[in-house]
Amino acid sequence: MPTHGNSGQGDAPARDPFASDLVMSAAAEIFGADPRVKSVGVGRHGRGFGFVAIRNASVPVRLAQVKLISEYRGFPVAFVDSDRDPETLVKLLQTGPGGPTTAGTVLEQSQHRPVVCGLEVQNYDDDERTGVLATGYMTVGSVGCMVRLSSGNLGFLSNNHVVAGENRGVKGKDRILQAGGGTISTGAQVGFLFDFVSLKPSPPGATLASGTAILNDADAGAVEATSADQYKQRYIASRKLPTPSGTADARPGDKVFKVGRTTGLTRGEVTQAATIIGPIPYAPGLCWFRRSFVIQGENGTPFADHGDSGSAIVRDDGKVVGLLFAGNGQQTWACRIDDVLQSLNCRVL
Amino acid sequence: MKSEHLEELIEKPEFHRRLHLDRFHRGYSFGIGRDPSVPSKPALYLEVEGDEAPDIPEEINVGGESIRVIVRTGFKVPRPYAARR
Repeated sequence: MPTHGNSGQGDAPARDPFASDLVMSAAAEIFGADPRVKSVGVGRHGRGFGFVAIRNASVPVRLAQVKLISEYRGFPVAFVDSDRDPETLVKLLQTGPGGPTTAGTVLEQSQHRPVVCGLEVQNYDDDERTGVLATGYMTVGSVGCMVRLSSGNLGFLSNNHVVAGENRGVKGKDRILQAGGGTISTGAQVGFLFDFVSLKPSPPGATLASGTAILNDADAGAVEATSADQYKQRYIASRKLPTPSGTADARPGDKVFKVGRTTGLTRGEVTQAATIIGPIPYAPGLCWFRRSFVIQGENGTPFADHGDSGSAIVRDDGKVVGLLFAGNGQQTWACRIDDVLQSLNCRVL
Repeated sequence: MKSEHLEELIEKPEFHRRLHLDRFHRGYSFGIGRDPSVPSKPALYLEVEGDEAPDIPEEINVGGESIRVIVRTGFKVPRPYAARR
């Protein structure tokens, strides 16, 4: 047995000469504890390793049948939910995280003109105001899709927490850069913050059941172009993706994709719609959302990660259905595009 | 069962109380998906933070129709997905 502390992040059990026995005994315990478990292995857990159990969460079980296990012999046990049993001959994605065609650097992280969907963006002034730049960091997200703003000018959508500093943004003044940076290099500014949907926090301890939670419809902001020919409604050409065009409502079972600055192109499926979610921590306080929808990556791959916020969720027919705004490492949440457009009084190009 | 009807109900506090969520004070995600046994039917998906859920019914009657409630524990509340780098 490897030595390990009580931090919940063990060394790699697989390196131990007795590790296979350890994995076998852990598997026996974990399989026995939950009839939905279909696979047990060793995987990353924080900065260490632990056991990872994949369970088919669609199998109906009574809670009394499930024995809760969070660790086995000092190693943490994490559960990953799937909605089906493991299948043979699982397809390998050609794109997305882990795909064979994925380059080491995501294209969308570089400066690109014209500005297209999926590129990295930053509210430079908010990062300066809040002292983020002074610490050597910057806050970045992704361009969603291009819109006609209420001013009649061209703009693009992203999240409030990307382009409007979680309600701190100064409309008409905050400078938006593509790509992000610690200084403003020549040509980096592509627009100004035009408008945003204010995030409405709920009082501490608020719940929906008690009627005290305030429900948000969208985490969204709009950027106005500094010049008319700067934005194009398309993705980087080498992505070979349909041009976002028109909008639709996301429905469970819809196949969708997104392009973001961290994980590039990923594909997934809408698993839930009309979803209530919360409380999510934002700078103004804990926020609840309604009418959001949930996406899970194809074949168990991650659909999004930090930095992908603001990406447009697009159906395979090019219809924009939402704006990605949050995730938990396994699932991704997006707000309905029609709620975003209505709140910001703009329309998809 | 029209999903629009469920979409309206799911935002109502009394509907959350019918599922005993008034006894639950952690984060959760509550949405409409497909019933894995009958994909043409909707089902309610309730994912709750922590290892224990309140005594949530496995089905709920909505407009005379039984709707399955699929409960998952161990839910991690999402975080906004901007990056600081």
